[in-house]
Amino acid sequence: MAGKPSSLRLIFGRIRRNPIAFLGLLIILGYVGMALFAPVLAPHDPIRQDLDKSFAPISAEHPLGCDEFGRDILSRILFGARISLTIQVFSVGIALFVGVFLGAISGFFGGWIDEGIMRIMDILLAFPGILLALAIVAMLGPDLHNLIIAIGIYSIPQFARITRGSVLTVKQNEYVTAARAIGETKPSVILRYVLPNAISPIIIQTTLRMATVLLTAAGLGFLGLGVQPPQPEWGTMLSTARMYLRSAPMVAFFPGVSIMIVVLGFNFFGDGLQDALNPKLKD
Amino acid sequence: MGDPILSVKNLTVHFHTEAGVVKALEDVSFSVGQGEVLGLVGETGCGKSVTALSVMRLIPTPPGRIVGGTIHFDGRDVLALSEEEMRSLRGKDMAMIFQDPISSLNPVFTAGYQVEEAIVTHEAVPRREDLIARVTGLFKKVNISDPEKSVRSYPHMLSGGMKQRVMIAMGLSCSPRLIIADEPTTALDVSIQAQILSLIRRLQMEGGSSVLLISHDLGVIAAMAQTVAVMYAGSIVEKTSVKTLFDRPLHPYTRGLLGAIPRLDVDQERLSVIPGTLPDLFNLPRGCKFRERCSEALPLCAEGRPLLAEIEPGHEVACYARA
Amino acid sequence: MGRFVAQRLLMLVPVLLGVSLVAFCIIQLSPGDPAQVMAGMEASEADIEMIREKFGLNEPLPVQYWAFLKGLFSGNLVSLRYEAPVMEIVLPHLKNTLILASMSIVLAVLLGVATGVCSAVMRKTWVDYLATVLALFGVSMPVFWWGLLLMLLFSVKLAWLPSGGMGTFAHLILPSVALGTSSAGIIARMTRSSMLDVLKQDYITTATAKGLVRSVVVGRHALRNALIPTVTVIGLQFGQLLAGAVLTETVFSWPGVGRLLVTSILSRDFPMVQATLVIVAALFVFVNLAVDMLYAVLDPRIRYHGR
Repeated sequence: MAGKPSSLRLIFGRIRRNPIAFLGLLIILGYVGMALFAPVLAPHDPIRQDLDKSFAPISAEHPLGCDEFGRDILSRILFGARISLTIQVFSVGIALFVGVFLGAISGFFGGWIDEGIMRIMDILLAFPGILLALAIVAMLGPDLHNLIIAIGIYSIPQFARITRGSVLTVKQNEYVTAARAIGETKPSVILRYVLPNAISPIIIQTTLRMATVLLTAAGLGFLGLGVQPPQPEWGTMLSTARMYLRSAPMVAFFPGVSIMIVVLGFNFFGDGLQDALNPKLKD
Repeated sequence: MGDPILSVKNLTVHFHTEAGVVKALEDVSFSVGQGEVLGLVGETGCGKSVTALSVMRLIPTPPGRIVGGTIHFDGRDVLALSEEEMRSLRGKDMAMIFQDPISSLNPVFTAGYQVEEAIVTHEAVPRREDLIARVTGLFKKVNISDPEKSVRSYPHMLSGGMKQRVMIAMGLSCSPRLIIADEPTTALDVSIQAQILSLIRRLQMEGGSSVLLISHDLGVIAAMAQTVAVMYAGSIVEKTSVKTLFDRPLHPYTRGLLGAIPRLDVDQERLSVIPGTLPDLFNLPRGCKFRERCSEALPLCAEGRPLLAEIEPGHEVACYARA
Repeated sequence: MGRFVAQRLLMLVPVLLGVSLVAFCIIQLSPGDPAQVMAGMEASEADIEMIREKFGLNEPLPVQYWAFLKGLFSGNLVSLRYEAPVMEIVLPHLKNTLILASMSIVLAVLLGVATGVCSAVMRKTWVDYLATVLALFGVSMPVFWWGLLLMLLFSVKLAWLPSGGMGTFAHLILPSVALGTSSAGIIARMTRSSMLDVLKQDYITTATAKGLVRSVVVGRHALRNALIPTVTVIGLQFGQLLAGAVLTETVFSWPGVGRLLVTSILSRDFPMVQATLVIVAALFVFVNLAVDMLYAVLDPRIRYHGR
């Protein structure tokens, strides 16, 4: 089990020695930096149109060229990172909070509470992938808030299941029994003993979920059901650029590459984290 | 007895792990004569299983590596054989019985199939009925109850003792000349242990195979072996006949081991226990590996490592205090 | 085995009911009056009242839900856009999606299992690293962008394959490759890790000690065991493919249920949206059941305990 401060150094060491995971970490840091400093880094206003520059090629002034409305693509990509990061942080945050809470209750109390919560999770899981988020956002109406809620809801079951599984494993451990024997009340037992031990699978899931969530948000944007134009969300950008695929493929290229690289970053890092936190797989 | 079937000389094996190099075996030498049962005894983690796996060339590489020494089987240099030659030796001329029959059988194949496979790998058995008859016969020979049904059973449907009998049947299927039994009874109930041991003994006498028997249990060794080698922290510290070892153990470690066995024939106030624990194999101390736990250590013991030397005819000991 | 299947089928009932309830409730999520939403913003008061009447929206919710359930199967639930019973529209589209998803899963399993096994057997060599990077690329590729790239290369630039629609086998190639790539990556990762786990087991040493050749040890003894956890992932992936079809079908104009869902949402054909959701979720639930059965076939321990 990881999570103790003494083993953090070991885990970080393992990640540093794993070139793929380290690359992932660098990509994530670069992406967060892009999002935070977009107003400083962006050479132009991401929204302002200039039809004279429609499909302007790559130049010193527009390092990635311009889109159909003559907007600077680089600036739009940079501001797009802000939107993606916002969606990721808040929707995964919601899912983490609600999912871990439900999973912990379910695992710790068992019985009909467990039964009830897990059946509801089964029902949510029966809608594969993007489907549930798609339906929710279609009904609530496509905007940033609703997108975050929809994606948050569809990520809850994963966290609930993982937390429940970890709690069930840890619950068997003697120190939890011992803590209950000395009279600690149930919720405090959960907080103090069970959760710190369930933390490593939750961390891994959070990282990997960041990747999935970005793909889902961009997918919804691509379908026209995500963040609405003229906001520079990457999926939304791709969706309009798609119409000019034959004449101006580069306009579709950059948002696509951005999504892929960031998702790759989270997957690389999550994969390395999985190896680092599960030394069982290492000889 | 003629030439030994198995002769191991100065075998040294290292494991390269994330935490450093483990010196699992160091200068291990022994030989097993034709029809002989050699017992290899020592505590858990002393290198017995690594020895067995090395002989079969089954050390997982990486992290393990045979860094020195030779292994000769029936006059052939095992370490120089090609993988293909080695493969035709495994299961045919040398067979292994593992410690834990529960994890050693593949859960998704029937017991009979797994034994069949050992046969058809080495021999052409054209007719399927003959093959099944042969496996059923083997199951009968190792006293598996209801052999016709057990052949078709999956491992999880058999008891631990029955599984170990299947493993033995598998090992014997091609009448090997050397059987390596690595703690064959450790994972079994005490009542089953005796049955399995007498089975191995009977089959060994009938078939004339040689046996390398590995155990941490001196009682098992005494019941089965003619010769015994005592292993400590990757080295052999004493080697002699079973009778001599029990009558006149010379190495302080062997004495400690014998003292740790409860005896009914002698009044004992309490069992003597060897103080301390096995040395860290990552970081072996200079000098004798047993020095820090030894009550008879001399100044010399901190200087160099004592080598196995014949102190009296047929009795080899690696100890400066006995030289 | 029969009882095992019956038990599982019984357990599906509450999940399926829940699924239909969620699909039914989703329309209640829409801000304001569902009838207004269905009719559109420009609709007159009379239109809205007609819709309300037609869909029983004046009834209490439980009655509405019951009518929805009945309507789903009896043909009373009618698409606003097609003006035909929803099932008549959904099922042909579902068939097309199944064709696409099946082709994708076949590609994904073949590619994923092979890559995963090579990766595990050649652990910590360049093969393993390359396979890991490729698999993670596959997982990280947004399916709609990957589809566009494939289309750009193979239909726009090279003109080898059609860029969309359905008809010949050639139409199937690009969409199924686009859709299957991410699943191939996930299956490869899963196969690798379960294979690594299995290769460390004692029975693998036993198999080697018998004198079996490496290919038999890996291909028969290890793979059979490694596939058991992989099969679960494959089942889950089939669900992901159904969901991914929403995007792939949009890119390649494949007339499947995913594209139907999107166009229904965009044209506010709510009965159609509800029916599509129920059907896809039900299909996914049944696929998972099938995977559980397959699991029992692969693992004798479960097969016999199930009796």
